[in-house]
Amino acid sequence: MEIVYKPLDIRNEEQFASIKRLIDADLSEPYSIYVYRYFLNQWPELTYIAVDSKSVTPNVPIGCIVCKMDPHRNVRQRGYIGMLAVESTYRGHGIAKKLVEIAIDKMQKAHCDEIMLETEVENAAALNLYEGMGFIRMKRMFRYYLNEGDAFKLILPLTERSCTRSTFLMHGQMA
Amino acid sequence: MEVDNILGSLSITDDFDQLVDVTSLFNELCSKLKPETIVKDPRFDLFEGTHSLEVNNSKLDSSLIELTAEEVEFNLDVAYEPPLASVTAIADRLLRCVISWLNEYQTLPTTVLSCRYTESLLSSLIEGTSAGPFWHTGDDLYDKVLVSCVLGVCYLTKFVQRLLSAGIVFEEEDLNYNSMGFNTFNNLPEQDAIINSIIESLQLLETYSDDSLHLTMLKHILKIMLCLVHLEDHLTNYSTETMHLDELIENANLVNGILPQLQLSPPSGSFSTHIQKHRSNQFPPRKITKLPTDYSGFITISEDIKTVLLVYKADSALETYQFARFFNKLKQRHVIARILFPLIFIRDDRTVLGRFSFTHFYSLHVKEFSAQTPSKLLSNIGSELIQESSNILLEWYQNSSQNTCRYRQGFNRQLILWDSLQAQFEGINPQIYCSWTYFMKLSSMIEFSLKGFDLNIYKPFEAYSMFWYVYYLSHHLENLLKDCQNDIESNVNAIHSMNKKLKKLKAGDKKDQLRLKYRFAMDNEMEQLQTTKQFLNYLLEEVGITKSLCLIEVFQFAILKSFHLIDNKNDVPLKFSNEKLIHNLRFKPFNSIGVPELPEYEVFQQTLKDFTITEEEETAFDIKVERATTFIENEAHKIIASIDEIMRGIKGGDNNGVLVTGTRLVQELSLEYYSKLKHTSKALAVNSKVVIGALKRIIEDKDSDNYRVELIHTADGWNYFPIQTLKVKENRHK
Repeated sequence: MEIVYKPLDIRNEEQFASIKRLIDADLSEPYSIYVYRYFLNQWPELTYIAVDSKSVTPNVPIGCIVCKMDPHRNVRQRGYIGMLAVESTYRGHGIAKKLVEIAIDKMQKAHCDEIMLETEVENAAALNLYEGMGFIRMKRMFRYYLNEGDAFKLILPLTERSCTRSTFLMHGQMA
Repeated sequence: MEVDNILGSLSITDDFDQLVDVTSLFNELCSKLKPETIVKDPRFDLFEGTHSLEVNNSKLDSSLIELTAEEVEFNLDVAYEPPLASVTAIADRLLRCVISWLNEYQTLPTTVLSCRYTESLLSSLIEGTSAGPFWHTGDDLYDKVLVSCVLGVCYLTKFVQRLLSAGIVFEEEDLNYNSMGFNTFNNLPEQDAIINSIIESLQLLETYSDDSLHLTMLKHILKIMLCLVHLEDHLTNYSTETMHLDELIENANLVNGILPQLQLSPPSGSFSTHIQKHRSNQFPPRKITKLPTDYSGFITISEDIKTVLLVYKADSALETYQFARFFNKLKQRHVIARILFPLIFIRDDRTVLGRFSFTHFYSLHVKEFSAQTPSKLLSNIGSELIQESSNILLEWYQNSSQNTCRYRQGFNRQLILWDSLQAQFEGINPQIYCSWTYFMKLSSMIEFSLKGFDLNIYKPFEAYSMFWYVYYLSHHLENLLKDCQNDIESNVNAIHSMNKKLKKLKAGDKKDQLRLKYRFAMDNEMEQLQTTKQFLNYLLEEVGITKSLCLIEVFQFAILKSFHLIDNKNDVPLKFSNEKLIHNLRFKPFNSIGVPELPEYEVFQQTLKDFTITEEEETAFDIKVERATTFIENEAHKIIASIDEIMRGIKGGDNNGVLVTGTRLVQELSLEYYSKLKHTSKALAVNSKVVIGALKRIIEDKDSDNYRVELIHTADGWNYFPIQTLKVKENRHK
């Protein structure tokens, strides 16, 4: 096994379909095609894939991370991790962690003030992964998911702007 | 804009000759698009994306649902045999659908609207329709009794829609309401007509000579329907009558006794995903919900509404305040009760409970906190500020009925409001406005912080900072309450000194005037002064308990840190952030608060260092650990004594002359809360001994790397103060 990490090639429809397949496999109720298009077409540079170059399908993603970044209430730049998936047979090798690190590094270099995501309260693996990187739980959301579970909103602060209430951040002072 | 206008002016023509085939043009333009180009409405955001459906995707397109032959061929005009057992089974299942929808957060189309009779009735309702007939089987059990059952459920659904539209709770979170495009609820007959229809059905059943359990069951079901139709009275007429709620409980209990003895099986196809396939559906296909097996859900609804109705009996602002604090605290109340509370409390006619104007209600709070009369109070304050204060207070009340997660978020928002209000009251006389606002702000800050432990927001490494900060807030609150108490004491003494002065004065006008003043004060002010003094005693006991519990947690953390089992930071180096940023993010809600100022990150670090026992001298180390443990034990004893004092006050109906708790309406709930707090205090003391025992072994085995600290909630304890428990790391077992 030799895992190679690379950015999404939005022109590669095969890759697009593979990412969708990979993520759909983990969801009880899948996202529509519009969600994938929303992320991948608008922020293709913030989607990364992991492939096993030594496998029989060296171009098929076995892991991926899908992100976006945009201004939050016009006062701070917020990166957002929308989806993260690793094929079950490849889990336990630190692939998810590496994908998250690559994505955060990219968003940090693009001047994000913070990274945000939501995850299920019961998803211990995801919580361990993100909290090990410094994310903290900011709030709990009641029955957030269609499967009726609560969720935590997690944030990783990258700059001091993340640590001041939006109301008190002056408009037009974005980094 | 121009394109929008042109497109907006287009219309569809029936004249095919005028139509132009633009397929090739469309394909040509598409071929010129870059692969990453996305054509979308600017308003199409992530929320729209996650809520969008996809044609021909079986998991997102409900028109692809495959129905069974029974579902396709189901005929509402057939009286499926045997009629009594079948109608009972349909009505029973419909009621359990109601419970599933309202108590278990399921959706309408997978519960109530999955019933083909409900779907049919709503489809055929036109304005002015009388109560049926909606289907024609020729059997009264179907054509009359079942119709009245379905009408009853639809009427309840309409009421719930009204509750939801009040904007108190959040759709798809507290309640799922997807009416599948039916806008016919407003065409339902009036309440009286539906009640009559149910009563007629009951009378009809009386004519049946059948002595089966099915008949008994069906009668109970109809009586339950009647109660459900009456639920709206609590909003429409602000009814305080609990007769129907009691009957609902009684009939639900009776059904619970009968249900296990019956084999109820509704006709095949009578409950179906048919509605999802055939009507306008903005949601992905969903299976029919697994239903509860009894009617206990109705008992929950009734009891929770009855609890909310107790607020009508409040005699003071103190009692409404304590009611709001406790009624939804120990367990999350039923969503109908949680919506009803603010709607009956804060009314459209801009009164509280139909008794007080908003500003009067606000002034009552300040009055009861300060023992000063409203006329003295309101004179110096502008009406806008009073209005703003009233609004924030009412928002506080409304927040008390939110679900457990929104409740904490509500406080997050309120902190800024109270802080801004306090700043506006600075320098205004009398000072009590500012003090009361500060009291509400500090209480909200403490509640927001500690609620995070209940919701598992904090990791164990954050426990020190949070508990130290709440200790710091409690210290400020304690000082504030003591100042208020001193003011009350001065006023009481001033009245008593008048009496002393009277005895010394010679008879005359001066003495007469002072006597009048003294009598007025004794008749009109002394009672409130004594009540407020005793209420402040209670608040001081409470804040003392919070302070001590926080101190125990802080000491426990420091002991564990002294043995290198925990630290107030992540246990791995951070690549993208740092400890100070993470700390500052956690304290973001407080960093704009003027008073009390949020201590700097370095202060938190220094205090932890001060609490931590160093290993410089081994003997002193052991002694200090021993002292810390004894301290925890002593604090726990102090807490338990304070809780016992409060519980005595509650049980004695605030008549012991020492404490006024204002918990008359929530006596049981408040006693349960303090029992939990007491249990937690004991558990914390026991845990500190267990930890010390474990630490001795860990030192002997030089094994600290194999342990970690977890925040554990005990079953009978209060979750705001979790137990810092030592656990063996999982990988040790591998």
